[in-house]
Amino acid sequence: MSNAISEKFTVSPIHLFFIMYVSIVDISILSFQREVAMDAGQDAWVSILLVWLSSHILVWMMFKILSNQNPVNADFVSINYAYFGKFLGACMNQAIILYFVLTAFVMYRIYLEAILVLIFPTMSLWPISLVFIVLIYYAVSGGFQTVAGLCFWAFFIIVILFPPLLVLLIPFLHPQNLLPFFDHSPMQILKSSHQMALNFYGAEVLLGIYPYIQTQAKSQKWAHIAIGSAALMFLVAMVVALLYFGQDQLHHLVWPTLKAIGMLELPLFQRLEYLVLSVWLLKTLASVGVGLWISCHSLKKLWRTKPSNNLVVILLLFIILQLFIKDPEQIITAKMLHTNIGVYFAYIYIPIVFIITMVRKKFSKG
Amino acid sequence: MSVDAKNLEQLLSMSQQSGDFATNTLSFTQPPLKISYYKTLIDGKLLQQHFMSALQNHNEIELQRLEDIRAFLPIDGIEITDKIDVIQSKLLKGHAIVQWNELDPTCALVPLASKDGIRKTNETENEFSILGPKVGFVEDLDTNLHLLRSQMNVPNLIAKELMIGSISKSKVMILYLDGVTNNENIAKVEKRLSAIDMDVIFDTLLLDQLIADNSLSPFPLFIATERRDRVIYSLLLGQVAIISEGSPYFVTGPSTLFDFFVSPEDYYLPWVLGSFFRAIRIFGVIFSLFASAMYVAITTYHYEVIPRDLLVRLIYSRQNVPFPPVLEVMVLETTVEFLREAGARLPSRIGQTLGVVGGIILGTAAVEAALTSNILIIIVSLSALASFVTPIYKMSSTIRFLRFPIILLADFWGSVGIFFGVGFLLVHITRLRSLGYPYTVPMYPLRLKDFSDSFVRSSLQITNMRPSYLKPVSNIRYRPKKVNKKSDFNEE
Repeated sequence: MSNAISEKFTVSPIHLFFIMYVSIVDISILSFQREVAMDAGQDAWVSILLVWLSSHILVWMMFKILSNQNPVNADFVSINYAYFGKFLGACMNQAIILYFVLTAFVMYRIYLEAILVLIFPTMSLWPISLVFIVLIYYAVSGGFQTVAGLCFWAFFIIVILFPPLLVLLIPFLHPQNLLPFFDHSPMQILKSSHQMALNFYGAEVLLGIYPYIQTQAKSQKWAHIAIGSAALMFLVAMVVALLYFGQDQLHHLVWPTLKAIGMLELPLFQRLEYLVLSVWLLKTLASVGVGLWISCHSLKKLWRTKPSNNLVVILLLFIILQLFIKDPEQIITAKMLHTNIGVYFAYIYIPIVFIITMVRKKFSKG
Repeated sequence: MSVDAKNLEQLLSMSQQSGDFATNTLSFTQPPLKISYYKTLIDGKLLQQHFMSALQNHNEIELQRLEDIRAFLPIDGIEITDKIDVIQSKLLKGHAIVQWNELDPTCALVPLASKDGIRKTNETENEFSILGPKVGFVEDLDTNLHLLRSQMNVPNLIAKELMIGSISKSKVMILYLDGVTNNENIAKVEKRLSAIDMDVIFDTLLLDQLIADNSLSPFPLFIATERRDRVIYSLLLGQVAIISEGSPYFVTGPSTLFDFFVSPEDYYLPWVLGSFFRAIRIFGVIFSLFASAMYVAITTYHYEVIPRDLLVRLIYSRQNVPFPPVLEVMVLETTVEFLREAGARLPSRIGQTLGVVGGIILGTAAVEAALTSNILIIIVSLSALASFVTPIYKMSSTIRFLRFPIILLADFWGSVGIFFGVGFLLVHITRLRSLGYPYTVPMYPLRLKDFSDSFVRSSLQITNMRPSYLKPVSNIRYRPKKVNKKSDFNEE
């Protein structure tokens, strides 16, 4: 394990951008506006800026942590073993892996739920989810390069699709909706920031994939660019929703981004939300793929099992979870559970590990 | 099963079972030489005019040893050997065996091969282009190499020879530019080719499948071409070309998905037009893949996607059709495939008639009988047309095949189903490797430097570097002239 990972399996630093971008921008970009605007109203964009800034700090911390490890072992499995000992480390690793599996499952299930609600209200869920699971298996079993490739395609499609839609929306925006500026108390902004943080997670995939990035020193800027552009996309989605809908309207909308897009009429197409939601399949596939790849790979490091067996087990777990999580309330519960763990993971676990790294560094020097 | 003869005696007795095998003992030489050959493989004129007459004229010279015939036979390339495998293969490639006497295992092999029955020249028929040279390859390996070497006048164009096929014993050539092509690629091709166990190599296209990285994929992993300019272009970029004896097709690799949208014609047009036509091809392929599937998805599930005015036309054209959209599309798509398949098997004149009968009469009748909507006829024929825009025939077959599963997925889950199809396709092409190189380069893995000649064809000023993903030994193809600083208008 001491020698570097073969070039056959790694990707160049620019692909870190695609992977992180795709992990952060998930389906909540179509729906997060209501929750964030609930407390902060037209000042919701301030809370996005706050979360944006904090994410940059987190990424900076993660890079500090990772660059102090042996490049081949720079992932959370080895770090936990080194910092917390054999038993506690294994427990934490198992917990983090479960978190990644849960992330992937929530993304997968919410996407299917969105299709069920918005496109095919009478559809039976099982056939489509089985095809989806086969597709996920096919993608993840292709290895890290395939997953990274999917992230690239997903990003590519998002970039092709969304900017033109945004341009088409411009005539319908009402800039005066943003006024008055700073009309909310710091407490309200913080509350809404917390809501935003619940939707803006995913940067932690870095802890799982770092050894598979070539020339790691150059990759940090791509990670920051990914955070920046993902946050920009959230910001644009927020501002567009604020400018397009009145606030009392926004409080009642579950899918504000989709609703805004759905009003557009092109000469050949209307109801573009169908297109957006269908395309989002590829995005979901990519981010589920990243999560499951990390889980399978980390399980291999943890228990020395074969990654393909891990994948099969995890996908069976998906099917079992789907048996239990049926109605929308349960899905929301699962999502809340997952996002809360995510926030603790990002804002408590990472700083702790960061401090340990810094302390160890100091001691090893002195 | 071993078909090789153990010794000369066995070889001759095996050959004598064939009616076209001739063995003569020459009465006019001293001692009487014994010659054997396949009448059908040798050139009779050569035999009579050169071989026989030379032997007759030099009758008075004493033949001491078999080697002496080299001295007076006006034929180059005579080989004297007692190795049975060499004798067998040469005999079957049109050499005559000359024996000192019946019991002597040493033979002189006189090349008298005939080139009858082989096309001398070829206009590119299947990869037609309006501009540019129309030189295509033929079934004869020597002619093909001649064609290549006449435009590549460098000694570092290397043709490595291999023998493949337990029955056909075909000569297979691996061509590359020494000092340009990465040695790893050459070694990989050579290793895969020598691992092949096959009886007859009918065509290079067979080798293409045998050395492919993934034999389950519908996508072609190597470019097969009969055009000289395309092969030369591949060699220049640092790819490896393979050709087998008896095939007019070269196979070049490693290839990427975007190579299949490149036509040599792009380079004979100004780069703006070249890029435009390349973009048209890519759009055509995407249209061809998804047009019928979108029709199915929209008419089955998403009527509201179509604006009202257009929807009126659509419903009006479909109102009398008694089938569900997917059946309608499948029947029509299959009909188009029938037409194409039948057209490809028929002589060209009948093929034209068929096109008229099939395309025009059948189409009109089907609409009038209300078996299909005329909007669908437009979509299906357009997408059939669009599938042929790729310059490489194999790719267009792939695209026409892939339409069917996507149509079925569209019938199951509408637009989401189509994107399931896209998902499977994307995962598949991302997983594909051609000679170990990613298939979707330069898109993924992203190599911005190689964009200059991929889905756009940039100006020759920019495309002077070889694509980096091929890891060529030398990167620079040519050095473009530096453009002088542009002067402002009306100024010197």
